Amino acid sequence: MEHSPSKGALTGLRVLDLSHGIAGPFAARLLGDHGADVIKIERPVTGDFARTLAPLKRDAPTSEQSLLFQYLNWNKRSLALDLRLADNKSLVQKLVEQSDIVIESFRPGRLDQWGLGVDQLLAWKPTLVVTSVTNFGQTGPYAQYAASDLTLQALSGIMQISGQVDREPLKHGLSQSFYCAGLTAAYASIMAYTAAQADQFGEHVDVSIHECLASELVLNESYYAFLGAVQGRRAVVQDPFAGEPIPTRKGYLAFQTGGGAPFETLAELFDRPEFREKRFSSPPEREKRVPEVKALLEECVANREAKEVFLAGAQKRLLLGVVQSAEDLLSCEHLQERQAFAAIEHPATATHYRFPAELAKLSLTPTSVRRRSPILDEHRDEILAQIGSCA
Amino acid sequence: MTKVTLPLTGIRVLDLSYVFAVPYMAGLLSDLGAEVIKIEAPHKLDQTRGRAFGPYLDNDPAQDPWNRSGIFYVVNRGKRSLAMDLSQPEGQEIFRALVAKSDIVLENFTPRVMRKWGLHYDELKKIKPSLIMLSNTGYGSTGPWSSFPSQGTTLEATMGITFYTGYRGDKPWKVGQSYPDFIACWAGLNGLWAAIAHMRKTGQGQWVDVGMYQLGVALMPEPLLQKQLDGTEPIRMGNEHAEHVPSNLYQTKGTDQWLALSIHTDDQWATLTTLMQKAELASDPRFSTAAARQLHRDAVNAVVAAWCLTHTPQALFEQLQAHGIAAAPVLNSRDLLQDPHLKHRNFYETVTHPEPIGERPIIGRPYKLRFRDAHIKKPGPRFGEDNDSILREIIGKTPEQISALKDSNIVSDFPTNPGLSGTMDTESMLKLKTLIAVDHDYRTK
Repeated sequence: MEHSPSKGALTGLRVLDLSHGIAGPFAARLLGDHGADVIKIERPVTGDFARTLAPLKRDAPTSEQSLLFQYLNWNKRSLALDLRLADNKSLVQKLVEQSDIVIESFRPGRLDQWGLGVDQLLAWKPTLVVTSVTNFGQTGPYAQYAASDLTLQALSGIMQISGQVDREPLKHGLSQSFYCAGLTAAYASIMAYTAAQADQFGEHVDVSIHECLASELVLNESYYAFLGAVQGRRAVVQDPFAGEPIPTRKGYLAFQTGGGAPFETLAELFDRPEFREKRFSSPPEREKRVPEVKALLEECVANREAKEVFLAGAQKRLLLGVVQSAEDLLSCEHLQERQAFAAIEHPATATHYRFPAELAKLSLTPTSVRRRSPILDEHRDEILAQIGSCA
Repeated sequence: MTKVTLPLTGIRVLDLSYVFAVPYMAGLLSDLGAEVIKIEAPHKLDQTRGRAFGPYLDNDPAQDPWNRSGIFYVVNRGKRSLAMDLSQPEGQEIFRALVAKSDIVLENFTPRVMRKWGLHYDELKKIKPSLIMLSNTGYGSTGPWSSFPSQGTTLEATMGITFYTGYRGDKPWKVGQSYPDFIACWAGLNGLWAAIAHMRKTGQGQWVDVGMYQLGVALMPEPLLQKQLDGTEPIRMGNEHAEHVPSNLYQTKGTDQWLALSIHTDDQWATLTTLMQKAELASDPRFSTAAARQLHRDAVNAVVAAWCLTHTPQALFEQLQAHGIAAAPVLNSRDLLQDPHLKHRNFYETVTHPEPIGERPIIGRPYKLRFRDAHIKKPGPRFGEDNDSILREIIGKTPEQISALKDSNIVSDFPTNPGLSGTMDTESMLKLKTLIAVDHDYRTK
């Protein structure tokens, strides 16, 4: 391999992170992972409200308890600054002038009220990229509406096709909406920065969390747009090869057809010749006898352990999944080998935990965790000296 | 005013990928000005052109089902199609010639495939040092599971999302449709854009190795950290929230109509009790604080559920939002296309396809640019639609050479092994309720 500088692709860029919660801060952190210098501006005293999000280390100072905050904010320096105060405007101007990308997640119009609207920011720095990450975007009838992960999954259509036909729609677990939007806001920011540099003319990127979710419905939407069909939720008795978790003696498996191996490989895996018969191996035939196929598969795995079947099947190139929990993932041999987790020490919580730390391997400009998340206002003096001296 | 440009104008992308994640990345790049060439195997159809994913236009496979699949046109918008066999030396040679004239290669074969064909990044960068290549695989190019096959449907379980999804007290539940593919799409675009930014600065290309499996943990830090903190795990609780009560889905007036509602503060709870005409509950010690409502979850849910049942989701949506409360109906695919907000933002772009498909709404992008005109530039390609023009214009093949390539099935205008096609059994799906309606007048809605 040629000499690798091992520096992130965005080394030398400065990102001003005015955002809070999950989506915006996650986006800003991803830019930091690529090497950007990220300055996080937080409201004084309480800081980003993500500092109150679970899981919490209760014996730490109030604003430093959140482990989730630590995950969303490494590679950043913190400056507590009240953006509402006119007295702070000249400092904000200096910060903006020395930044390449600003990420914000205020309710549309809020920055304008404070004299910090996108037009003002672009006037200060014409090549700037401002990325706004909000629930419904900057325009349109829902722009001022309130939202939660749950209501976003409802209104985007995601929930309509999740769950069982005779029960209520079911949301994706945890807080998926905000992470999806964070991923989108990060790449859209780098994209707009690339465009802004080429044209020497800035950009305002308006990311809608709602639309990030609606963008995932490529199949569901084409059912309607090409056929007029409105999809519902999953059948009470599902095709066992559509990914529904199937119980084993220990854990759950998920099956799918169409891997590198022919369907008949299942006969070998389970020592059951039935899988070679046309009534099971032909997709249209199999679809006619879903309950029968399901019962057979359930019987085959009932006395096995899920992970063991997963490994044996995957080695035969069958498409299998095994339902894994946090505990399983933390001890997964593959993630370990890929170095998917970084151990990060934090003095405020006196913790040394493993955090998921890499999205992809870039051969020349790997991502990195260079500094732990900041304590509220930790870098005030350093940032002010730096910004002041450059002004 | 300065002239602004789309950031990928003049950039050529070779897209060798199948199904959702990487094809969608490439489609989104075409919206930003890139010329994207989809290279498809004559003998192995992209699954999104086939029966497995359908649906075919008007549920009719006709004579050329591979040109009638809706999903294909969504994720492959803006591309040209070259149907060429990369497993043959002649196909590989043409591919190398194309790489010399391209900037980005995207692929999602299992790791051994490109290496077997001599088309691994280490080989391709010799042809074009500034080349950026992205490989998206289930498990990445290294590690003990790297050769395992994978697709989103089953990967969702392995990557952890399934474990934390499900009805209260029930088993783990699979969600949505190929959710991991979309995470991979957004995450892959992150790596790709970082590589593009670096290339613009230095002229250096690089290889982006995405393993979809490890993206799961990046989107579920909460249980990973909770486990390390105190050894516990979040429990599956359907649509509810561990702290906010009420935050749940409630049935409303109408058939299969639902309202999602989240109360985040005690003040919002007080507002809700007034709207429900049960103001006395605001000061009831069982409900007045967040901590109390967590203890009386079932009672809170019962009160809200009874109220919602007597109203339409639209009325509740408007009324609650007018009071600053997070609420929303569950929209289906028909509702989404008619949603006034998405319409206002032109989220679905009208794209004119050749007949018989014609004008169809296609999902745009989850972001808007204020100054630059990102848009779907053309419909997705019919199979092998651009075979001749690509071979002629980009690498100077003569008509005779092109005919010879077609005679030997290196290049083909038709799939040589199209597999099964067929109509979707909409009648029985309606009976099972996996479809809730089929609107024959859908084009005019």
